[in-house]
Amino acid sequence: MADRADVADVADQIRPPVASTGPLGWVRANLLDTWYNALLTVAVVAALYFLVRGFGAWALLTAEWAVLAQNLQVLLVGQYPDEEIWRAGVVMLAIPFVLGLGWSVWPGFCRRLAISLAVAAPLLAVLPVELASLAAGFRVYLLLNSVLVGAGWLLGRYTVLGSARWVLATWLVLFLGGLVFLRGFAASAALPFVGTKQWGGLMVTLLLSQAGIVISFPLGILFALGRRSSMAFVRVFCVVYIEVLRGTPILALLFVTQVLLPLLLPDWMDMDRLTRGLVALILNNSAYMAENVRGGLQSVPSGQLEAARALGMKVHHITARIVLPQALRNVLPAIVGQFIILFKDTAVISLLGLLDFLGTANAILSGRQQWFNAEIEMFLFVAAVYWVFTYAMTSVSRAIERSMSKGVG
Amino acid sequence: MSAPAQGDLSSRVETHSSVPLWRNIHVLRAATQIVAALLIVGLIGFLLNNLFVNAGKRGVDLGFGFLSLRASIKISNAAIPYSPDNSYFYAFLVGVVHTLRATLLGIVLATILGVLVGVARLSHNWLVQKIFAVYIGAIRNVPLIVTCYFFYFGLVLRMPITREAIHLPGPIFLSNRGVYTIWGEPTASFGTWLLILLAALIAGYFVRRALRNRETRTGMPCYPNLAALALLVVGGTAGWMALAGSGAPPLLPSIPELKGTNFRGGMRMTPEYFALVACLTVYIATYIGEIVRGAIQSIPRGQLEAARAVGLSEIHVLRYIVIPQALRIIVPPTIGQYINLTKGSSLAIVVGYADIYVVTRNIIEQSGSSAPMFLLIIATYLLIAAVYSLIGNLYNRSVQIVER
Repeated sequence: MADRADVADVADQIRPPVASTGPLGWVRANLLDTWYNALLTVAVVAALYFLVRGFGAWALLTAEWAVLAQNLQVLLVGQYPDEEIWRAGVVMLAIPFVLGLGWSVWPGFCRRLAISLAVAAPLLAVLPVELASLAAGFRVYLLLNSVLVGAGWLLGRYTVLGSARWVLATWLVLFLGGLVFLRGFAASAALPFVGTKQWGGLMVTLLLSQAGIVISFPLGILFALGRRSSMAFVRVFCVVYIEVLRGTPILALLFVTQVLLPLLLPDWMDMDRLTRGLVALILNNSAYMAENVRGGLQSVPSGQLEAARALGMKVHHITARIVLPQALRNVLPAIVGQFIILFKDTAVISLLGLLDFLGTANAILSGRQQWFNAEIEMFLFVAAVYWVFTYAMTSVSRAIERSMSKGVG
Repeated sequence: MSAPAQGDLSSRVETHSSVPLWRNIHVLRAATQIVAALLIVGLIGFLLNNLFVNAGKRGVDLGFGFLSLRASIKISNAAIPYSPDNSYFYAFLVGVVHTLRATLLGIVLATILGVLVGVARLSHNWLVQKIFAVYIGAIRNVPLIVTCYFFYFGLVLRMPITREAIHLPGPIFLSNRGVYTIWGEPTASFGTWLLILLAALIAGYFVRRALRNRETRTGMPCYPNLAALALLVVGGTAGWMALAGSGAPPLLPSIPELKGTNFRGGMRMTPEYFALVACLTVYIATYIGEIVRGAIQSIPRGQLEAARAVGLSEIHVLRYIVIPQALRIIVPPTIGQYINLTKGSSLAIVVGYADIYVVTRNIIEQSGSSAPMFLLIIATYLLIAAVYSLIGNLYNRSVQIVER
């Protein structure tokens, strides 16, 4: 009575099993597991092939990368005078140094970043490309980046600098000192004055975002505390500040500060255009920061506050030593996320004619007829640079989040 | 023994009542409050005083009277009829309409693309999953404004001229003069047809309610949604047929056709409008995608297994288990993204699309009245954000769990 179905069954049983391990098994399980997934895979591979081939052909044959090679210095530091350019170089070296210090203190968050920089800089330096502004001096400068990462790590490891407090203090001092160093003094021969009108490029973007972080973070904490204050007047002021500034696009705020600040402030308080842009960034970001911090404040159990009060601690001590440390730690990823948004927002100031990284790129494109058609090359490069910085910060934020979910942070 | 204790107590009470003013908590609180109030009022007063003094010095007008004057600014491709003879306020309204138009279209498209991205990130297909991860990582880590520049100057303005426009099925034509698609041209009977549709909609609503009640009463499936939809489709089609039979279909198809160097007919999206909406969509969709993915992943696997174990089909698992629970998580942060999209739309200036911000800037350049216009633009953005979050929250209430 053995009919055909039974024979097929037996044939199935004696057939060798389908491979489910090894590369072939992986492909079968992840790319071809159903007929529609197989179709999808084929379609995607075909699309990718044409995309990569088209882009590769363009990037290698048609693209005019000269626009980047010949303007590298302008893209990095703007119109900073040639004979003073070493000052910009020195100030920017603070970043690898602080990163190295951070590596020694927070190996979980900073190590990968510091090592990536220390490896990438020499690789860039030995790049066998003939770039007009990539002179021998610049190659040495790139190597210095790695040296300073190492120096920072050693100093952090074996001296008093190796604690969170000292790293932050060092960064702050280097940053503020760097601003003074870049600006120089009118009367000085060694450090002649260089106004912010001549600052530009990636340097301005990095300085602006650091300044924005330094100022809007404490302001945000103040507004968050004010919003939870028992004093009605303070609370209402903080709520209005936060809600209005959060609801306004950053571009409108930038425009408001450019035009309205000179009207709102007396003449002796007048600032340059770059500082006015910074004010807008700070107004906007401190409002967002306040909301992040408020989330953290709400996460601190009220028992902590009551216990501190029962011990007879003073109000400012309770806030500074009991509430804030816990609150800030709880929302650290959100705060880093806000730093990332601030960094991305700095690009908008280019719309007001200020020469940050994006503004400099635009100025180069419209400056000479030679570069009129190099938009794709230029904006790809600009996007790539922003991407590298944002990705670095995102990876730090993710590392913090991971350590918190493990209960280590 | 008790006497000295009594004395102690009374002396303590006395000390309490004689707490000096600078240590009395109530006095301290009131004092801080007053100082804070004075500081805030002082700051605002200081700024306002400077404003009036400086405005007087520079001859800047701080009133709103100028809004009714003739605008004499140019707005190209205005969505509502506009000429430079209209007032400043009307010009501002044109900007508002442009912003609303771009953000509403952006919201619809970003939601569709975002859901697609979220689902694709959960695909069993490794390649699809990774490609969308790369897309999210690439777009999110670059400022929106850089994407706008790249997209507009690098891609949209480099599309072929109208003669060699890219022809997509639809028909949709992509060219450097804009995007042209097929469009329905409303005729005289369009209003009648809309009325018929409305009637079908109302009838559908009542039928759905009745069927639903019967379903809960009897426990037998009555397909309320299906019935309502069928009613709408049948009503709409029947109305269309009747009107077309009497010689005037409500909509006449208008197909873009190349005449000379330009397209005639159809609907045109200017390159600026297209670039802005495309950038906002691509950018916000990455955020919505991650929200959708997180929401779907947050549904415990046990629920899906249990649903399959009791014999629900995959469609029913999606309809009754996954979507209702995911929506509860998706809606609130998505409203935030819609507001982000609205604020991001102010980057229209990059591509030269005349939104609120661009029009405001032109008005200020023309009239010199900066302070009132700033108040107006900030108030408008806050209002738009408030309306979007109001609508979103109303919808949110309908998807949340109803608790007693």
